Amino acid sequence: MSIQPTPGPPPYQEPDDARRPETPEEPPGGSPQRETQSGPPSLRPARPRWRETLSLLAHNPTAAIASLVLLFIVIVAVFDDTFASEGANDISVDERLQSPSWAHPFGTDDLGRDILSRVILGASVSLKVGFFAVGFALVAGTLIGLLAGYYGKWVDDVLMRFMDMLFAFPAVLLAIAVLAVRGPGSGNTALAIGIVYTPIFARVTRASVLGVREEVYVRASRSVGASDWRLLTRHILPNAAPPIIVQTSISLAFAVLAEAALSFLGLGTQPPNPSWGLMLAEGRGYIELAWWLAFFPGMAIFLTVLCFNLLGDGLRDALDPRQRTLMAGGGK
Amino acid sequence: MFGLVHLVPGDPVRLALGTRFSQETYDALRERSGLDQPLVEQFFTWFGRALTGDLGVSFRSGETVTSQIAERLPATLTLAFASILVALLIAIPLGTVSALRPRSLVDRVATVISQFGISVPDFWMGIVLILVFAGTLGWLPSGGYVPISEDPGAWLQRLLMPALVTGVVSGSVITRFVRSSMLEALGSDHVRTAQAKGLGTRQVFTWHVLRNALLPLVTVTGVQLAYLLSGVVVVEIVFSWPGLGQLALQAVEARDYPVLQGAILLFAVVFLVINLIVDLLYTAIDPRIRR
Amino acid sequence: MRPTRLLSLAAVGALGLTACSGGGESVDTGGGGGGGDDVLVAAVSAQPDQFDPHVTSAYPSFQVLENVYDTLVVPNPDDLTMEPSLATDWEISEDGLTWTFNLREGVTFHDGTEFDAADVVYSFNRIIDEELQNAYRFENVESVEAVDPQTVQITLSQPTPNLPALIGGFKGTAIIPEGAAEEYDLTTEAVGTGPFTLESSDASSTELAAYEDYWGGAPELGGVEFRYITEPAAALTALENGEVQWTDNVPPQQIEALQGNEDVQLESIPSVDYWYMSMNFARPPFDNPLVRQAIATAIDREAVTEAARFGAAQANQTAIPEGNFFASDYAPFEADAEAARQLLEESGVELPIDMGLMVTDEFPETVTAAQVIASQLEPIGIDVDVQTVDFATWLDRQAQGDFDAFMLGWLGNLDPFDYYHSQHITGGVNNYQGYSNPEVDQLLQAASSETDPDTRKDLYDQAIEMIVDDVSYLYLYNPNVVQAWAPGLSGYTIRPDRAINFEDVELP
Repeated sequence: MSIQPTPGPPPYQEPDDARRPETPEEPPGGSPQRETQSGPPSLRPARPRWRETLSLLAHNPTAAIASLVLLFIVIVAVFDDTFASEGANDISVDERLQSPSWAHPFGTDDLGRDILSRVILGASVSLKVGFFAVGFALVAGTLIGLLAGYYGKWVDDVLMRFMDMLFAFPAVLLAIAVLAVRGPGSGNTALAIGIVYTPIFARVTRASVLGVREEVYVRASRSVGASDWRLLTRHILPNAAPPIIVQTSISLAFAVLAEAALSFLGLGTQPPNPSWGLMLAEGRGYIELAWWLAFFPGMAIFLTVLCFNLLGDGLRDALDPRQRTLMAGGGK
Repeated sequence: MFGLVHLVPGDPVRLALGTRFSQETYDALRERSGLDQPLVEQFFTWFGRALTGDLGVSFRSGETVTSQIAERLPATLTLAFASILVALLIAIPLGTVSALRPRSLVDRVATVISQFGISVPDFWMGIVLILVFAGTLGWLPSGGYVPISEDPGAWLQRLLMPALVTGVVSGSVITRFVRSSMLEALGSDHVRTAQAKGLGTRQVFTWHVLRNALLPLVTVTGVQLAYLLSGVVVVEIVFSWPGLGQLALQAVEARDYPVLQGAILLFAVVFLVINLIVDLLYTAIDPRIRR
Repeated sequence: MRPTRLLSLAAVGALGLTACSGGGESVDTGGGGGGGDDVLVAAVSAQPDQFDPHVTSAYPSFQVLENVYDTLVVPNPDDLTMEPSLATDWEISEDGLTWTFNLREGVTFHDGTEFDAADVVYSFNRIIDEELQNAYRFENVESVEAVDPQTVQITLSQPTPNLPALIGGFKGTAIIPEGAAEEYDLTTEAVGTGPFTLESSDASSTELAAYEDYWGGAPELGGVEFRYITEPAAALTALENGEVQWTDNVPPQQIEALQGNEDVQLESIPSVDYWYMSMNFARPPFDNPLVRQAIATAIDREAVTEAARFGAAQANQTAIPEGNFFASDYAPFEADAEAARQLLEESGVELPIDMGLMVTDEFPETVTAAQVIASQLEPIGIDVDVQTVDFATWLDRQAQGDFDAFMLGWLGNLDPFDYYHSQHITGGVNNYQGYSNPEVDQLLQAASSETDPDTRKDLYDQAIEMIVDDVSYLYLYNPNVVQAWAPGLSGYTIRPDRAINFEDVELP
């Protein structure tokens, strides 16, 4: 994927409320499955059912395997110093470009560094960039989307036009701007990617908020005088959350790829620290000479991204109440 | 936007001059490019001209920004529409198949296949394609662009690989949309009602499922198209494709403000126009939507 | 008369064949599509920014312009000494202040006009008066005058023995016809006297056609197409399967593999470029000569060179490679971590030292070399933070002195004035590191106006020893020029100054 964030496929994303007219068509009082989700006509909506979600995930083998692989990668990333052999960044020109062997299971790179160790170290760099970037976009975008969706009117207009502008701005320039102002480093790469992804989270959140804003329990809660803050945090956010959670998982995948693309353009992680993207970008000059330079970091990216995406898909199925009933109940 | 462009550190004059020059040369070029003026003044000059369709002159090449953009527009349009075509050819069958049998083996296989496309960095996919199809097999040229008016055969040959790479990526994104919106439509009340009323499967499918699933498909295709039209830098570099993405990247690297501003303006307009078209299509597909 | 000139130029472009048949030997120019049999397709890594030789500073532009424009004198392809081109010979007055150039007869520009002294005066004055890119090359020039149509006189304010290199080192001082800047849009059009005419240029390629009336005889090729292929893997693939016949987009690690490849003819020769590192004299502890010397001692240039260039380079402790007239064999440093540690101890500076080393992804070999340097400095107590930034930021920070140390190169070095003077003289425009040594200043000043070559070399030899000892620049290596072409391509000469000239090339 290129660094222009393909506005990841937010499952519920509606660029504007054009599709809304469908909602009123639903029988008043909500459909049966809607009721199971929002609970009996109490003012309190049910929290997303974590236990049920997890069990649904567990029954989805692809998502379950993806979660396990991701767990493994995260563990590797957290304990990278333990797994990687010492001096993964030590340069030894004499040992360069050695093919995979017992001493170097993944071979050595153009500066004689052990690729296995660097792939392990790269896990933490790549995941850190991914988590920071998505964390930033998640917090900023969700906040903006909540405000825009909840207050509507001019707040909505101002915030969303600003997001549109950010969206139309070339991502490469944003990245260069951030790196030039704040200096190079993976933290700033993450910030740049995070800014690029913020509009997507804002849109997903807003669309989702629009969907729950007029639900019975929200209206009821408002009528008994609940504060905006309480409404937002207790009622709207929890019920608008599923699409945001799915978007998070998918964005993590895209962020890892975006880091790779920025590295290809020379704007990513700073050597000598390895990130998978940087290793892959550097290794592309050696494809015919020493395939292992690019193959192993490439596989690491592929696996991680694939798993985040599969997990996202699984989450979508598990979190979507309609599909949930569809799966659990008769459906097909 | 203007401010943001100029805030990026780096001096276009210094970059244009390279490393060997005298202070006088530097001052003279700065003056000629109008960069010695206060930023606010620069903005109003630019804005005033932009209103009349004059986007200024590139620092780097001395050509007008409009001509530089116009020169690259055909290549970008070609690649964008070809990629969307590839993407839809992948996404619609794959998405439909997996939505019709959710959680079946077919669904899982289709999901994993569709994820492959977005799980491989595109520059990597591009280079491997070049080495295989242009290098080892020698079936296709390694890159470049020939206008269709000049030689349709050569045009197609050079379009195949880049369109495949970007198409696979967009296709993966769209597939998931197709699947989830079809699932949603299948599970929606009126479809269930229709089923309950005893309408035939085929009828339900065409009249209710497809139409409802079409709306999000139009949306996501629109967004993908907007993204493709603003240029796919990485793929353009790998395949030597003279598109807008490369122009924007060159402009960023050279701090060529006029070109950069022109490109961003264009992207914003493309974005707006596509949103408008998507809205219009909505109304066409679903007459209930009148705003 | 003026408008017709433009028209006739356009006609040559459009009706290639018709126009050419008047030139004696009728050659098929291959048309505009690049499909002709005798059009050489050259893969270059970037698009030229523009074609005004007096304005651009971009190497991709000069790759093209080298074949389109001429200068009064040119560097000889073997040892880069200056030899006649548009000027057939020249005399220098006793005091060294007046240079008289006799111009070649029977030379025509691509628009058909005759070349004469007025064109030289116009071209040089344009650069000087408009303060264009290369105005600094004319710093000592008081006046440029046409004595008669075949004679130009340049008057100097002080003796300038390197004048030929200044006005003929590359095509940045090309001769354009009088009034050309007003008459043509030189950013997109070219009116030179060279072997090829500029036909067209777009976002994928630049096309040249043979100029039948070229004073050196019409070129063998019908034309040249410069195709921009940024990704080296794509460029090499294109060369191997015959889409292109020449490329300079060859990463050094590929050299060994390509040498055994029958589909490719590869050459790698030493260049006159050099890569160096420099430290900020205004920032402690790098103001301490012992610290700089310790760093110069700790760095193993051979290892840096091998890592960054895969053997396609020669480690060097001074600027210019051996074999060049001005080369110096001064090499006081021997890679030795222990000795370096002792120097640091002597300096009394507190360890560890933090050093930011600024490099740019514009030149990836600096990024590689910096990592090796970092690994060599770490054991002696210097923590190097390799900072990779884009080139615009890099230049900006360099100009503002916002760096501990940086790495870059000087390319196409012909005369020591070019590569020693402004870099090391106190307050010199390229003395970003802030070096100041009165003795060096004196030597450089004296050398710049010394007319006797041997005395001049002697002065520069003395200066460079101090420059190296003071570590104003920490010289690293001279890279090779690496280019590859289709087997059987003849008449092409790979040059140490990286100029590429297709004048005598014949396709297989």
